[in-house]
Amino acid sequence: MNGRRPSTQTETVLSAFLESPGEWFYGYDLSKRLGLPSGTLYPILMRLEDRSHLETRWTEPAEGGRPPRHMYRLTTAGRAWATAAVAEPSGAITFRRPVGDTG
Amino acid sequence: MRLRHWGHTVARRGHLMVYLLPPSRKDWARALLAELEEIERGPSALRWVLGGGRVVARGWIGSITGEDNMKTVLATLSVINGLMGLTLLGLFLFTDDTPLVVPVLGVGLLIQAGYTLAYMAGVLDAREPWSQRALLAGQTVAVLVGFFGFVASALYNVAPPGGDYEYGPLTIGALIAMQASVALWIFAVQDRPERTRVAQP
Repeated sequence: MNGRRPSTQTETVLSAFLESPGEWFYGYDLSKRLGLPSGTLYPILMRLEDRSHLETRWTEPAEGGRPPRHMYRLTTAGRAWATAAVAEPSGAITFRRPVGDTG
Repeated sequence: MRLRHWGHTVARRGHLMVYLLPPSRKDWARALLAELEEIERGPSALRWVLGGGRVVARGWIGSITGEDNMKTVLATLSVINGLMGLTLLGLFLFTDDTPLVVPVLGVGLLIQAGYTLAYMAGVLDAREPWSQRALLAGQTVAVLVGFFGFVASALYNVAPPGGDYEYGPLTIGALIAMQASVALWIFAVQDRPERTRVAQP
């Protein structure tokens, strides 16, 4: 997302993370809270992690017999980036690579 | 009621699929499956599974194709279509008895190719978002027209009157449909269209 403005859905996810900086979130909880389906939410989370804006960890739930869950929160750099990105005004839509973006 | 037997079954089958994913996406597939255990049985669980399937499929497709590769394919197909368009116009101008549909198709191919290449090159930036909407609308129409032309030509060639086969319309239909399909494919496999910053005055 270097040089690119995030999508509306990404902004929604970032805003949720920014509301509770430092807090770890579960995927399904985020999905319910934001009204985003898994097919939309997870690609956003994956992209954020790819760009080192998001850190992840596995946690063992308290209740036995359940599989460990994946948790997410913004990294320090991710919080700074997200704050700036959410504050940016909206732009136009394109599938081209922006000029100068080599990533 | 918690998702139990059904969730466990899907999760077990899903874990088999995880092994087929690229290493960078395995954790994410496991994460999707783990969350499934927490979801109530019903439409929510089904939506979660369908969405997860989409994510996994994208991971697979993305590891095979890569968006940038597809853009290269699109640019190449656009150039081919443009050359074919010029050929058809040349055919009309320099040969006799060429039906009017030939230059019409040539112009269509040139517009499709020229617009796509111009859009990819950023020439139409100032016209966003209408330039993108026009591209999507045009490519959608092109897929339908190209596909129809291809199928109609193929059916005609099954039993051509007088044994006169028509490969021209078949080829042009295929070219139009292929180029448009790749353009729409790029939109479809993207998580969402990227939005670039608009230069502030």
